[in-house]
Amino acid sequence: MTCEEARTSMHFHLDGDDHLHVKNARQHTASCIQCERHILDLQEVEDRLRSLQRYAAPVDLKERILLAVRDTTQKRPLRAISQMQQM
Amino acid sequence: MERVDQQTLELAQTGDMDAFSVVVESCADQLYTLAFRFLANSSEAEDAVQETLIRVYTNLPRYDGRYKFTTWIYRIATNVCIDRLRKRKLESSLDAERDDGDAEGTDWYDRLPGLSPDPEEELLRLETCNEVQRALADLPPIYQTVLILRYIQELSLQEISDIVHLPITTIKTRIHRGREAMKQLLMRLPVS
Repeated sequence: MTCEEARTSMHFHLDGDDHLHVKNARQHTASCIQCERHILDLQEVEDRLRSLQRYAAPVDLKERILLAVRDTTQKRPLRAISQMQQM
Repeated sequence: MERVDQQTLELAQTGDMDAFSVVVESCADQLYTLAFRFLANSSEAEDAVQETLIRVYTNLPRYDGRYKFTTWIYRIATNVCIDRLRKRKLESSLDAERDDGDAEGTDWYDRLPGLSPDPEEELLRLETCNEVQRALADLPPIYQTVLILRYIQELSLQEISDIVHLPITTIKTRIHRGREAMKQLLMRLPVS
């Protein structure tokens, strides 16, 4: 297995897949410092994305939305339209 | 997103305001976070959430239950955000033409509102300068979408596939490429 193949397969490992090619890639990575580094970097990318802060929507935004929909007309259900066309 | 019960959903589909306010409560925080991660700007994120929920309200009678309700909302929200990114790109390329290619100072973080006395706003502004957010903003929208849905909204590959209407294999490929692109962008920065 080449480094390139191993790196491609290790993405499936990060996704939680456990096919034979993933097992082979894990074996390769265990004995290849560069590929091991590569996977550690990708795991760090995952960790940093996961650790991005979540926000609460501002209260006045929710109020604005509820106010805005009061002047909004809902579309008719598609079901009703097809029934009307059948009439 | 919190689950909205069937009865409330059906009432909201007939335009019941109390029921719709339950829908808004169930998803506003996640939508705001999603929009903020796409647009990296709090006031644009607010506009995007408002546009999303007005579209949700307008189209509610046509929601047919084929997909989960949250999947349906996420689909509308990602479309709204991607549209805004496209418009922004178009506008900035027009601006660049007008300015005779002087692109300096037109980075996305320069379009943020100025220093605000509101501490929460200030926190948002500072956090926007976070290098992960900056790297995310540098990615093409197709990669941004899958990474935001996967790592920030913590959705399954199946849910993401339902939201963007693409097979799981395509979602995986995009996540793989997105991760590699993020690695390139983040690892070439000096260690702070």
